[in-house]
Amino acid sequence: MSDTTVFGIDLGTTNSSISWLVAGRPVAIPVDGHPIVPSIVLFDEGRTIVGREARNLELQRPDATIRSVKRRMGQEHRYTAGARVLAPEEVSAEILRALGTGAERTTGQPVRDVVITVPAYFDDAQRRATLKAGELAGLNVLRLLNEPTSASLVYDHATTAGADSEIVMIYDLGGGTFDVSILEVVEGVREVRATAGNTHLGGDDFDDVLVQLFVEELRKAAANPRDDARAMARLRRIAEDTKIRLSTEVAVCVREEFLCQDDRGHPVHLDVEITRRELERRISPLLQSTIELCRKAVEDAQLSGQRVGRICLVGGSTRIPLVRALLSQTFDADIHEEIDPDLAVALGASLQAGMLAGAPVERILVDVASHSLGMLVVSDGDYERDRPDTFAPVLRRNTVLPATRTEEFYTLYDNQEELEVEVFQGEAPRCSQNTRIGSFDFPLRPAPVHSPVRVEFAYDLNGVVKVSVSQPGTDNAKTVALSVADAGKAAQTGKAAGPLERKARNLLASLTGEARDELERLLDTYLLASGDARDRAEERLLDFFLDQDDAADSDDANDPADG
Amino acid sequence: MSWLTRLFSRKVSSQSSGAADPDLPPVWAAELLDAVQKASRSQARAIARIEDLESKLEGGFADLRAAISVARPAPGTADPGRLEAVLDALDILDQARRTLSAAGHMQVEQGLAGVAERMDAFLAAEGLARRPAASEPLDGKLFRVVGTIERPDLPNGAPAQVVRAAVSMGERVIREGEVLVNRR
Repeated sequence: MSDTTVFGIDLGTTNSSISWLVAGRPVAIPVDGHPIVPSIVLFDEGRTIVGREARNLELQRPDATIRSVKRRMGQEHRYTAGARVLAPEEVSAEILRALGTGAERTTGQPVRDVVITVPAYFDDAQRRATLKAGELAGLNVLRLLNEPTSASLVYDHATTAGADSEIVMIYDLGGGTFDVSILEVVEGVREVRATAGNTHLGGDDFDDVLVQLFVEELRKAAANPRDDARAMARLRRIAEDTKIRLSTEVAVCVREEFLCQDDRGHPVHLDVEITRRELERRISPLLQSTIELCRKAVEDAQLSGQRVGRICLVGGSTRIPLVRALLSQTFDADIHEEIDPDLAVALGASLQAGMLAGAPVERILVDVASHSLGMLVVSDGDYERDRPDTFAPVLRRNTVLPATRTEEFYTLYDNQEELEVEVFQGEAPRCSQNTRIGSFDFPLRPAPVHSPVRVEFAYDLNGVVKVSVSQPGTDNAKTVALSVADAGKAAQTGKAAGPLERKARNLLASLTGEARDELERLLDTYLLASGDARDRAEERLLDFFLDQDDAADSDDANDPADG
Repeated sequence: MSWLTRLFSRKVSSQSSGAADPDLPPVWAAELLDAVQKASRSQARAIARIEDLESKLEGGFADLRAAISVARPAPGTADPGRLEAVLDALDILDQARRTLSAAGHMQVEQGLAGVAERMDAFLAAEGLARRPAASEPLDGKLFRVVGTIERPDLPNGAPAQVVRAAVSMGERVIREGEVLVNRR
C-alpha cells in the first residue's frame, strides 16, 4: 500500500497522468495499462469515453470528441458534443474522473484527495474552473500547484540540493505546447518569476518535418503520397518512430515497402537513411524559437545580478539531443534530465500531495553520470594551438544510467590511416582541463576527407564505459572497455534514509506536543552525529520508540472498547 | 524502557558506601538493566527494520500490481516485442498483396496470401492473434482511426481500409491497429 491515499494529477493539454507516493517516492499509476492518458473525451451515445480509446475514435467521431480543453478553461465557451452542451470544466471533470477511476482500479485505493497542476500563467478564472472540474469529478482538491513548481519539486528530490537560493529554469517541450518558466527557489520556497511559451509548438511539429522529408524523397520516384491517406498514415507513424530513434542514434535506415504508387501505378518503396544531423538542420529554427522564448523569460524575470543556475527538462520532446545542446550553448547552467520528462509534473504533484498529508517523503534514487564523457576532437580553434584540445561530449552529465549515446565525427584527411580515440571526463570545453580516462588506436579503411566515423559510448552502473568506434558502410569496428575513475555514476542524491530515520519520520506524523518536539530533537541529533555519538543517539532514538510502544500498549489496555 | 530505568535509578553510588540498604536495588541490578536495555534496543531496531521491509514489500506489491496491468506475456507465450519485426513484415505483405491485386497479378497475390497464412499460423502458435480487418462498429480499444477516405459504397464513419493490423494476446491488446474510415 502507498504511504498515503493522496494523489497528484498532471491535467495536461495533450496528455494527463496521475501518481502517488509508494515508500515515500512518487510513482506514476498506469491507467488501462498506460501511465500517460490522452486528454481527449468522446461523448458517445449513452457513455463517455476518455483517453486512448477516445483518441483512437476521434477522426471517426469528430463531432462528439473534445480535445485540448485546457486551452478553454475559465472561458464562457460551450462545447457541443453530440446532443450535449458542456462547459470546459465539465469536460475536464471527465478526464479527472477517468484518471481517478483508473488509478483506483490499479492501486485498489479510493481516489479522493488530490493535488492538480495548472500552468503558472493560469489566471484566477482558469484556476477556479480547474477547482470546479475537480469538484464535479468528486475529488477533494487539496491544492492547485503550478506545473513548473511541481517539476522543480520532483527534481529537487532527485538531485543534490543546490544553494539555499538559486534561479531554476523549467524548460517544458511537450507534444503540442512549449512553456518556459523561471523560478526563484529560496530555502525550499519557490516563486515563479516569469513565464513564456508557444501554445502550438511541440513534438508533432518535428514529426511533420520528417514526414515532409519522406514526401520529398518519394517525389523523386514520381510518387505523391499526400494523395494517399493510407500512405500518409504510415509515414506519420514512421516519422515518430524515426524521431525517437534519432535521439540515441546518429542515423536511421528507413525502409517501408509498397508505401504508395507512382504516376504510372507502379509500387513505390521508401528506402532512405535519415541522419540526426539532417533532422537537426530542419528542426533547428523551431528549437531556436524556444531558446528565444527562454531568453525573453530570463529578461522578464529581472534577475538583477543573479543567473540561471539549473535547467530542468520536462516534456517528451526534450529527449531530442539538440534541445540540450542549444540550452548548453546559451546558458551557463547545470542541465538536469534525471526524471522521466513525460511524468515529471505528475510526480511532483504527488510529492506535494504527500507533504500536505504529512507523509514521509524520500529522495528519489536515480543513478546518473556525474560528469560528461566525451573524446578529443579537432575543431577550427585548435589550428591556433600547438596540439588539438577540443572536448566533444558524447554522453552528457546527469544522463540516467545505464545509457548508450552515439555521435558522428569526420576524418581530417584523404585516406586517413588511423584515429586516436582519447576519452575524457569533465565539463570543460578543453580536454586539458578535464580528466583523461584512456585511449586506443583505431585503424581506418581508406576513405576521402570528411568521411564519417561513429563513436558509441555505452556506460553501465559499474562505472565501465564501452567505447565502440566504427566506419559506416564498412565492417571496420572496434570496442574497448574503459573504467571510469569515480565509478561514474554519482549517485545523485545523497544518502537514502535508513529504517530508523524512516520510522522516526512516520512516527512524527502521528505525534503532537512535547513528544513530537522530543522526537524531532532526537532525530536531528541522530542525523548529525557520527561515530560513538551516533551510536548513543541511536540508542536514545530506540528508547524513545520503546517508550512509545509502552504508551500505546498502556492506552490499549485502558481502552474500555477492548473490554 | 523508562520504567525500568526509574526502578533502578538510585542504584550504584549508594551501594558503594557500606552495608546494603534494603530499599536500594541489589548489585546485580545494573547488569540486569544493561542486559535488558541492550535486548530491548535490539528488539526495537529489529522491529524498525521489519516495519521498513514490510513497507518496501507493500511498495513492491503496488509496483507489481501496476506492472501486471501493463503488457506482460502469459506463461508459455512469446514476448510480443521480440516479434514486432515479423508483425511489421506481415503488414507490408498485406499491402503488397493489395497492390498486386489492384494491378491484376492475382496469382502472385494468392501466393503471397499463402505465405501470410503460414506466418499467421506461426504467430497463433505463439499466442498472438492478428486482426487484419476492422469490424463495424469500430472497436476503439483495438483500432485507431488515422485518416479518412471517400468510399461512396460505405456508410459515413465506417472502417474503409486497414493500414496496420491489430494484434492481441487473449483479451489483451498488444498493438493497436490503424484504420481509415469513410468520410462523405
